[in-house]
Amino acid sequence: MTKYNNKSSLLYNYTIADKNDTILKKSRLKKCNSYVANFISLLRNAFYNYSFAWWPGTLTKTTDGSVYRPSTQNLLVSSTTGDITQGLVVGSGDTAVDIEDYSLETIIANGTSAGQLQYSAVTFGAPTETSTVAKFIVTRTFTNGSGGDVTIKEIGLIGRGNYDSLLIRDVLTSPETIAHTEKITFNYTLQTSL
Amino acid sequence: MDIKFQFEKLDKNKNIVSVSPKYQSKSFVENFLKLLFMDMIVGGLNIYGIDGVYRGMGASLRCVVNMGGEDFHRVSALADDWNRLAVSDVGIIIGSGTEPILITDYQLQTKIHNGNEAGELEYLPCSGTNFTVNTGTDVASFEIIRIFRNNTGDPITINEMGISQIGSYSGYSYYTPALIIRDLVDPGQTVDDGEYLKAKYTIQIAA
Repeated sequence: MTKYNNKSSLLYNYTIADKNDTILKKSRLKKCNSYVANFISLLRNAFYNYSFAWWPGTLTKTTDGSVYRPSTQNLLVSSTTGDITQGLVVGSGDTAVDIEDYSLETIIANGTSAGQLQYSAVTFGAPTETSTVAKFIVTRTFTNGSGGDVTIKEIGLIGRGNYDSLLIRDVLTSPETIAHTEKITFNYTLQTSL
Repeated sequence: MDIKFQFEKLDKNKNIVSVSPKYQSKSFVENFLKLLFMDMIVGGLNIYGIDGVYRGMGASLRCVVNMGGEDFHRVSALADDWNRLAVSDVGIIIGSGTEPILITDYQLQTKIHNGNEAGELEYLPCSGTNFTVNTGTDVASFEIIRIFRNNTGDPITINEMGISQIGSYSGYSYYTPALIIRDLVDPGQTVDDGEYLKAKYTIQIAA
């Protein structure tokens, strides 16, 4: 995405807080890199509003790597507490993003065992606009109750519908280590601007 | 995400007369973001239709409808509602206005209507094509295309262009389109009598 002088932007930022919600670190807003092929495939589906089965050759991969033809839009990214199959997810892989990525490299499981994080539900900020920018934000918080450090190196957004599909994957410019009892909140900002 | 648009002019025998450079689209307007939001959370929001009415709208970015031609996706139960849509209300639409774009634009400034009367252009079906994923360049894209024909006897100049989705509300019992992209076409594209103009939007992402 950063290759273009585009007006439709995808950004992310995050905050790390202690168990008392005192902010320990607040990142700058960073440009995402990037939407993966599934996203443009599903956006096309949304523009057509019917199954790709009508259009041979336009397939989408689920997060387990199997190939399907979506019959619903699959852009839905809401997710409940503890659900790592949909919504904003985090991982420990740092392999560079590939346009055909269909999953995080190594997703961090939900839980309180070693190497795990507790996933909150995904929340959304309703769209807002100024005279030049319209945007909305997708948010999720991850709490470390594992007893040790957990390091996040990648994040992503998984859409759901009749199948789960990775829409966005980003490798963090620098890994973030979350100590026991700390929490990290990620925000994806989708915006269009003049 | 990156959007570009381009034009091809064809003579009456459909031979290409000229191909424009690719222009940077600017931009998605607020309606697009709201509809994407609704798609991502299954929520309802009010948006402005092209009629200027602010109303609750179902989540739909659909803009490719073979209006005016054979539409094999048409559902018979909805036929009456489909038929309320003008071909110049959905898909790629064009106009003669030159006012700068606002993020809140919900219609073209001065739409060129479908027809063969003075100041009109004939809207042929809007289609989508060329979904590609190039693993070599890490780019994925698809195209939205529409062809317009000038049968008026006089040249017509296009100064603005956009994409309008097919809106819906009240349980899909009626449709009110909403503009999701508006661009100024500068320099304007003049279509002479008997000529065709092919407009193409390319929507792409890159890793």
